[in-house]
Amino acid sequence: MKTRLRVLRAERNWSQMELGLRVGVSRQAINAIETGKYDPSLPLALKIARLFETRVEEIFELEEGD
Amino acid sequence: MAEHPSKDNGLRLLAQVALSTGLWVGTYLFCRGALLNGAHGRAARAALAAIGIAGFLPWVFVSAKAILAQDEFNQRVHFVALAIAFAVIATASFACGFLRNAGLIPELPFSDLWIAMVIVWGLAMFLTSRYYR
Repeated sequence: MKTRLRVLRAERNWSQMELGLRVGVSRQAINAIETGKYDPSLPLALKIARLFETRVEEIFELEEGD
Repeated sequence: MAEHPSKDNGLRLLAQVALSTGLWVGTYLFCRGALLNGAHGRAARAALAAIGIAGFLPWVFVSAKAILAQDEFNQRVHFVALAIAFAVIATASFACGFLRNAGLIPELPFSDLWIAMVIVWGLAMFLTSRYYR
């Protein structure tokens, strides 16, 4: 799954730790999501989208083969 | 979705892990020593075995609680590590059974299997964490 999370986070000058605290997960979780090694649960994806005031599809996108 | 544990919750959980580990080690050493060194009578031996087993259960409960207190990603890491440990121990014990029946290795102490499980779980945690880094 492709994600724009790193870009959105950088636009707000947030660290991975800061973003993690805002959505209730660890820095490692944010890192794993940004590197595409871990797909967040639906509740977490919705929380992230709500934090960035956008839709889930604007942050996460299915790739060929997903 | 589990929230990231607060500092107070984390400290409380750490204290529970320390207490349950102390209880487990204490009851294990006491009951094992008593069973090996002279506890007589079926009832006394059964009671010592029951105390030894009961002393282990809080550690299992607290360990599960500690995993469930993590966020969803760290829970995933734990569950993957547990699955790897389960597969490795299942394969190893299956293979050891055949090798023992073939007379190639001696009888292994079944009661110490959990030590291997904890070690493999730890190794699998290390490898899984590295993969997700």
